[in-house]
Amino acid sequence: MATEGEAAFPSSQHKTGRYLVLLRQDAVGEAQGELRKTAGVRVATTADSKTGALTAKQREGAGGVIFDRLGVAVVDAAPDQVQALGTAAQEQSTILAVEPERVVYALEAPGIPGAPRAPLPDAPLTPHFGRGLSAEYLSGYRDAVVNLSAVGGVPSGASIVTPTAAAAAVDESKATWGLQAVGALSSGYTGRGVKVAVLDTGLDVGHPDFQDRTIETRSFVPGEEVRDGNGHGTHTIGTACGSRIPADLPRYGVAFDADIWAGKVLGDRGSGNDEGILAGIEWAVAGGCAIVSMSLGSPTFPGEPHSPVYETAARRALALGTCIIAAAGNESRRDQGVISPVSHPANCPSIPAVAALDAQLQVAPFSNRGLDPVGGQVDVAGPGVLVHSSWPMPTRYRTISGTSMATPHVAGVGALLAEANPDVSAGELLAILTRSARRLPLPSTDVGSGLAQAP
Amino acid sequence: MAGSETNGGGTQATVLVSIDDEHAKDMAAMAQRLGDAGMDVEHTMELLGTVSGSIEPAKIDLVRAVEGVRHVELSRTYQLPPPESPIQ
Repeated sequence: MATEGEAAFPSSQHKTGRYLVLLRQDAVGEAQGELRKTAGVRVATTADSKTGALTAKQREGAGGVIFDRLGVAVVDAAPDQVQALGTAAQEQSTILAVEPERVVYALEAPGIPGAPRAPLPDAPLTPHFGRGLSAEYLSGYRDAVVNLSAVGGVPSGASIVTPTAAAAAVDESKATWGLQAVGALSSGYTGRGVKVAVLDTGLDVGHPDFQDRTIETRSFVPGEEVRDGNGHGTHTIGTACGSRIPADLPRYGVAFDADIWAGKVLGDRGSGNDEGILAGIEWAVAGGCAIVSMSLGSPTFPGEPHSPVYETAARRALALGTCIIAAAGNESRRDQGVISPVSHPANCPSIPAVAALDAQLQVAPFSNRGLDPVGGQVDVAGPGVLVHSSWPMPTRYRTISGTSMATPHVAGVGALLAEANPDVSAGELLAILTRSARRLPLPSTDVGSGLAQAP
Repeated sequence: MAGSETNGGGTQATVLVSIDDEHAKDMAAMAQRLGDAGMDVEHTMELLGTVSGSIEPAKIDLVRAVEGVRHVELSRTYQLPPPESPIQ
């Protein structure tokens, strides 16, 4: 058995010379004997301690320790012992893996990763003013005030420079740029077995691209049929769930095998109210829809708190297995210096807000920002500029822009994630959605965790 | 704020009423109580624990006072841009 003085191998700068051993979680109890038998390594185990920590006396004389609850051991081992452990890991055994133990350092200012840090200088890195306000804080405050005054129409005096370089050409001969951007084409998932509700202006159920699909419909607009007399609903449903083989290329739908639940909550003239929307959400939850996509919003003013009724409803929906996502809103005109806060109901913490990106993965000029610390954040982003999708016949297809177009991209991705993760809760699904987004070099106030990505 | 004419000639407000977790277990009873408080109940959403309908604005506080009521809000309206708009 190696003692602490003997290095098992010439240790690199960042290794301790000891080894981490991953143990099979259901066999941790046998591991103590197994380590002795396989490699001749005698270890103590925290199973002998109520607190999960061993005393010096308990560690005395042992060549390592098993962290019983983690199923990991840290051992001193000579080369032949390491080899024996490695061999055991290859066979069916209590030992799953062996790796060198690393030296770990506290992180400070950016520098060479892994290098030891110098102690903090006496002076703080950012200048502080008398009452403890840093330069960074004040410039952030100034920017927020400038933003607010721009929203209120006060000329900012600053000009926004927009990039004039020609956009890189995107090949949309086979599939829309949006499908490419969210990784739908290379995903092995289709949305099969997942119910996706889109609450909008309904669906043109006679559209050729939807003829072979499982579709539930319901109108929540008094006096109107679910058949889409506007276009918006047919377009968003197309993006979320459109056919893998539409009558005309390009393909434009993310979850092409999902069950479509078309709820009409906005009339053919594009108007609706909370009553109809909540009734539509209730229907979708009762039907077991994993995702509810809402490309609708009501403008908010900066500092306006979110709706407690919608937040409560959304939490209850999550508890019952339904994720509601909504558009961040299109009131902004960034090229004119106007940035508006996230719309209702996307400003609810339990309703992820979806921002819009263009094909260069820049924030769309109309896409709202999370200005509000109280709930109104942007959570994730989707393709929302020049989006080709279905439209009521005889027009058949249309290309339009909006956070309304970004939202169903994310809804379709959500459906693929639901299919890929059948046993997770709705809350966990939203966590997966946001954490698996592709990070972008853009403010999180504009794009949340980034561009949603299909599994 | 959404409003509409009633048969009686006054203006009613459309409201959303969120019920607390305990009382949401019996939504039918809550809908009844809200009706008794003067609300014209339109939709009772069992799973969301929410009731919507209309009421005279002066009586909204009576609805707030009903046991089990957690939030009362006015229903908002939504309006999409015209279908031919480039941004929707």
